[in-house]
Order: sequence, then structure tokens, then C-alpha cells
Amino acid sequence: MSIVAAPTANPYRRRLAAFVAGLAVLLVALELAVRRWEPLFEAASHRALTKVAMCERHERVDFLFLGTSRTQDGVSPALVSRAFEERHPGLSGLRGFNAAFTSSSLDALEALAGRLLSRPGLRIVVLELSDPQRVNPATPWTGAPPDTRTLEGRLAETAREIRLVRHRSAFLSDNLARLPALLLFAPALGGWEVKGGEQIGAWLGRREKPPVDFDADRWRPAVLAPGDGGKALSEEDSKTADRFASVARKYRERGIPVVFASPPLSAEWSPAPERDSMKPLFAEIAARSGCEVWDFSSLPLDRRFFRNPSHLGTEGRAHYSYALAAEIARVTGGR
Amino acid sequence: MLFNSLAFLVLLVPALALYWSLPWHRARLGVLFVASLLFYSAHHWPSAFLLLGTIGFNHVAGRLQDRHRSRILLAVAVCVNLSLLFWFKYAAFVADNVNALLGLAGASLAVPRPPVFLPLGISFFTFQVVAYQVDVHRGEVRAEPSLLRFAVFKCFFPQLIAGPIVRAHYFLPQLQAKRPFDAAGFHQGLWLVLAGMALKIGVADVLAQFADEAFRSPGSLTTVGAWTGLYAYAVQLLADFWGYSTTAVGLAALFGFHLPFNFDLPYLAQGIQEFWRRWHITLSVWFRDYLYIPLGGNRRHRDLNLLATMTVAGLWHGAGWNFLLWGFGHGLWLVLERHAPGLPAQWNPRLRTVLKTVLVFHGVCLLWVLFRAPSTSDALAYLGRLLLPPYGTSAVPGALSGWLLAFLLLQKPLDWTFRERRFAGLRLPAQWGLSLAAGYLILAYAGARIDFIYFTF
Repeated sequence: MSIVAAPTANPYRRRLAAFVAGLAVLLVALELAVRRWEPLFEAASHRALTKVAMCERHERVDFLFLGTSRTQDGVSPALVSRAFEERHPGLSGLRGFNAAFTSSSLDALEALAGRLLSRPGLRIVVLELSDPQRVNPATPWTGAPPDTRTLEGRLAETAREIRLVRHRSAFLSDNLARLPALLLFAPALGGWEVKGGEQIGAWLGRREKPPVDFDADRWRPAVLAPGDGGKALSEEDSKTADRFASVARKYRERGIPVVFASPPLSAEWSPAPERDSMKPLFAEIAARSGCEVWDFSSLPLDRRFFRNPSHLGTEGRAHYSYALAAEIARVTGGR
Repeated sequence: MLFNSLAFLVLLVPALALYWSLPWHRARLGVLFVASLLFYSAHHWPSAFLLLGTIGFNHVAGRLQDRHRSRILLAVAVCVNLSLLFWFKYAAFVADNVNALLGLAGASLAVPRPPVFLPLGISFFTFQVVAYQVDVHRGEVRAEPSLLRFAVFKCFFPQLIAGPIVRAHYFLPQLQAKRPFDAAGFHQGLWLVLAGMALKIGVADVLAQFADEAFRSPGSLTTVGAWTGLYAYAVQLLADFWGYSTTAVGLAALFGFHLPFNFDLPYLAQGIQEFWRRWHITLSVWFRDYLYIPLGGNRRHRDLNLLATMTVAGLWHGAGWNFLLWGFGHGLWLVLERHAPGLPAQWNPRLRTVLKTVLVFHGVCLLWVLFRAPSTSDALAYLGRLLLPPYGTSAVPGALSGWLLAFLLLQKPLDWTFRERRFAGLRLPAQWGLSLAAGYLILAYAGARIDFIYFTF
């Protein structure tokens, strides 16, 4: 039987009309839903925007961590808060958020600063200083605009008026998976939970375990103070130092203290520019930004703290969070 | 103009509205002809003159053939059509090879390389008119007296540039009288267009990223990486062309016409002969009727006929040694399959079915390497990574295995909905669900905008 046959009776026409009408209603409903929750759909289209939107869904954020997956995996704001309660009572009750994300770049830090520093109540921002944070290419979240010199480009531009089309990248499978976090879990998340199970666990109130036998001395970073600069840098490193300093300045101009932190690396991670060639850059960033640099990258740490040579695992995250809490308490004077 | 472009929607919607609102048959044919010309010209407008020229020539040649039934006239008509195809598609390839031979012989002569481009769909519409001329000569169809009807037969835009290759006896009768509006056919057509585009955009274009990456640098692949890259290409190619063909059938149905399906779950074939009955069916039938059988078919030199037909079929796909080798490989496999003993009959039938399907799929995949690699040497390098040591493993990207598994599981139910009017017969919630799923794939993955693979053939 062919798909096109003899003329069909009215019931088929009614069925076709019902199909088209039903589909139209569903599409309109979807369009309205996207318009209703447009910021969330926009946020789902890029992991950087996701993190910012999640941060904005927290009623209160006193301390903020920004960086790459090294920071994302390595810092639990809930454990930092717990360390404050246990060890630095003056900071008890402070809440933080880990807005670091995989493949973060210097461009991303610059672009996000404008949006994050408008957040009221921020007491300190910890920016990651690492080789990937320095060299990762920009991954812009606003796609290239259509070429409006062509008919196709003009049509594409017009079609963007439809929000389903404008935010269609939110529907890619990877991005779609971010919607539950944005819609449901965000207020319960600290930002390091990227897997569904971790997010659901946090939403259900699962508490992270504090570090066992935390040795503050062993986890104390090398601190480079603003006066430690004056090192000769290559032209490229000099530009990089200026860009990091510029990001820090944006926060400081709003009265928000900034520190840079270079996350821990396992001894087997090689090459590790943070341990070798980046030291002069660290010092110069400290000098140009007027902010301390906490260098954890050269600490001799056991392999058990890492899930892979450059990323901390569960145990490492607990220890690093406590170590960061100690340093934050030091620079804020425990207040 | 691509089916997966917004400009196509701008052409299609008014064309459909105008077509169904006009009460006169000739006016409707006029709409189809103008829409087809606009569709074709949008890609490269000078090519439209070639299309118009071949329409005029073949209309006249067909009428003369109908009147005189002359082998000479047939030879002239076929030669003119094939000459155009040869010039645009193969002249550069021949010139390159002649020059290479002259270079080997130490001659200082060089054949000039014709600076030609490939008009979109020339392989398809040339085969369509060659079949028409032969059919008229054989008396299987009467030459179409109306130039307008013939023009629509020749350039009906849903099938103009990548088939299905429609035969005159199948399509011309559908153009004879006004088509009544067929709601169920239209309904089914909407689904075929949606599902076809979802196959192209949501499956083929997604898998293209993995396949392209694998074929870009085969030397760096592990054995597992090379095989998964090849699986990605195999499914990409099927989804791309199946998607195009399904869209074409659906578009035709929106205008009240029926086009033949071009695919019938080819990767579930249990033999290479069966594979060719399921893959690009209208092309296989063309080669059977207009080359294999005239060469002698099953009557004499069957093996040679198979080899010759498949080698030419390989060259039809592209002017290159890799395509020629690909076609020859398929021909050789067809010959071997004819003579080789089957799997032992005492084996479990289900096991035999699975084994044959898996073997045929992998054999087809290995030959796809010749089809996809940019040159024969690249193909050999890729085959080396597939089959030769050092053997290595690497993690298969989760997204790739997910897409491949989903395709493996869903191809059969999807094909089921394409046939007859099954989609139109489903309950409305099921129709909406399926349409939303297809729409989701189109919406989410429409960014790549990759050309249909068969457009280049």
C-alpha cells in the first residue's frame, strides 16, 4: 500500500487537523515555558553560565571560588564552612559557592567578573592560578551571530525571536542534563557536585565527611605577598599577569578582597609549570594585583588525595577545603 | 538549497499553499516546476541552464524515439546525457590519470585539466533520463507529450538532487491528472519530513564529528578507536542518506505524490546481495535493469557481469580510484557469496542469522573505508589501523556509544513508522510524542548544517 492513495474521507482530515493543532499547542506551551524560565535555559547552554546561575540561586554567598576543574573538583564550600565553625569561630556561619568549571579560561574569568561582582555580600573571592586557567582557549557562550548578508543568515536572525530556537543549545544532551541542577538542586549545591548522584545526594541533605587527621602544617601553602614581585617576565607572561591583575582589580574596586590560589598537584603530574616556570608569574601577579598568591602546587602530598594526577579526589577535597579555610581566616582576620 | 536550511522552508510553505489552493492541474504543475527551478538555482544558478537544456533535449529525443524506435537515436540520446556526466564528473579524473601515465612514460605532453565544477545531482538526473530514453525505446512507456509534465518529472525538487531515482512508468502517470488532497498521505508525509530531518540532523550530523575526527588522523588511532570511528561513519552515512530519502518521500507526499523508499534496514542484511536489495534501492534497480541485465545478467558471464556492474556503480559514486576499488570490492564479494558455502545448516538458526548479520555489517564497514577516505593511500592507512598490529584500546566516548546503541535499537521501529500509513494510524498522543522527539533532535542539533553526503555524487 502506498502512502498516497485514494482521496480520504473527512475523519482523516479531522485527524490531521487534530495532529497539527495538538503539535502547535505543545510547541506554543514549550515556547512559553522557555520564555518563563529564559534565564535558566540561557544558563544551561554553557557550563560557565550554569555555574553563575546556580550561584545566583543561593540566597547568600560570602566566599566564592573561581577556576578550572581543578578547583571545581578540589573545593567543597560546605567543608570550608564547617572548618570555620570548628576552627575559626569568628567566621562561623559564612556560606560559599564553588563557581569553577571545566575548561575555564582567563577570558571566562574576565567575562564573568562583571556579573559576579554585582552579587551583594561577597566577602572574598579566590581565583585559581594555574597553567590551564592561563592557557585554556576562550569558549564563548554567545555563538557567532548569523551572517545577515545572506538570506539564510537573515532568516536565522529572525528565527532567534523564537526562544526555543534562541536557546536551542540548552537542549543538547550535555546541556539538558544541567536543567535539573538549575531548576531543582541549585540552592543545595556547593558547586563541586557535577554528577547527578552527587547533586541528588546534596539535595537530599547528604553531608560531606570532614578530613581525617587534617595536618594544617602539611597543607600550608607558600604565600607570595604583593611585595614579592619585580621578576622579569616574557612579554606574553607580562600580558597574562596584567589580565589576572585586571580581573582582581574589578572585585577589589567593589571592596571585595581577592586572593589567588594554585591548587595542589600530585608529584607524578608532569610537566607542571606551576611548580617550575610559573613561579615568577605568580610573584608578578601578586605584585601587580596587590593580592596574595597561595601556592599549593608544590606541596608534597600523597597520591591518595588525588583522583588523577592533577585533580583532587574526595579525601583531597576535604583537606584542601580545610586548608583554604585556614588561609581565608588568616587574611580576613577571622572576621 | 538544502532541505535542512531555513530558506527551504520559505520556499516550501508558500509552494504547498499555492499548489493546494489552485484548482487547475496545469497551474499546479507550473508551481512544482517553478519551485523546483528555484530550489535548484539557489545552489548555483548557472546549473539551472544545464538542467533546462537536458529537459528540452530529452523531451525532444523521447518524442522522436517514440515515433521512430531507433537504436541510433537511443545511442545519441544516451551518449549526450552520459557525455555531460562524464565531462562534469570524470574529465578531470581522466586527465589527471592520463597525465600521470604520460609522466611515467617520460612524455613532456600534458592533457589540460578541465576547470569544471560538479552540478548538483547530475549523477541522479542523468540516470533518470537515461532510463527514460531506454524505457521509451523498449516501448515500456510512451514518451511524455507535455513538456511541462516532462519537466516536472525531470526536476521534481524532492528527488532532483539525490534521488530516489524515479522511473517514468512510476512517476509520469502520477502527473497525468490533478491529485486529490489526501489527508492521511499528507499526515504521513509530515512525519516522514520530520523524521527524515531528525535522522540527518540528530543522528548523521552528530556522528559526523566522530567519524571526521577518526578519518582526519588514522595514524593516531587505537584499534578500538578506529573501529568505533568506522561504526560512526557507517551509521552517519546511512542516517544521512536514509534521512534525505525519507524527507524526499515525505515532501512528495505533501504534494500528493508517491516516491519509492530507498532503504530497507540495510545493516540488518544477512548477505551482500541482500544488502544491495536494501541499500539505495532505486540505484541498485537501475544498475540491474540498465547495465547488469543488458550485459547478460544471470544468463551468461554472470560473475563478470557482477564485477563490471559493481565497479561502474563504484565509479558512479565518485571519480576516484578508491570508489572504483570500493565498487570492485562489492562485486568481488557478490561473486564470492554466490560460490562460497553458507554457514553449516545444523547451527542454531538464530545464531546463524546473528552471525551473518554481524559479518555482513563488518564487511560493509571495511569497504566503507574506501568510500570515506580521501584517497586510496589514506584508506589503506585506516584499514591498517583496523586490522594490523599494534592493537590498542581506548575509551569509547559515552556520547558515541549512546548514539550508536540508540540507532541500533531504534532503526527498526522507526522504519516501521515510515511504511504505508502507520504513523498516521497511530494514536494521537503517540504521534505527538514521536514528533516532539524528532523536533527535539532537529532543534537541538541543527547548528552543524552539514551538506548531505550524496549531494557530492
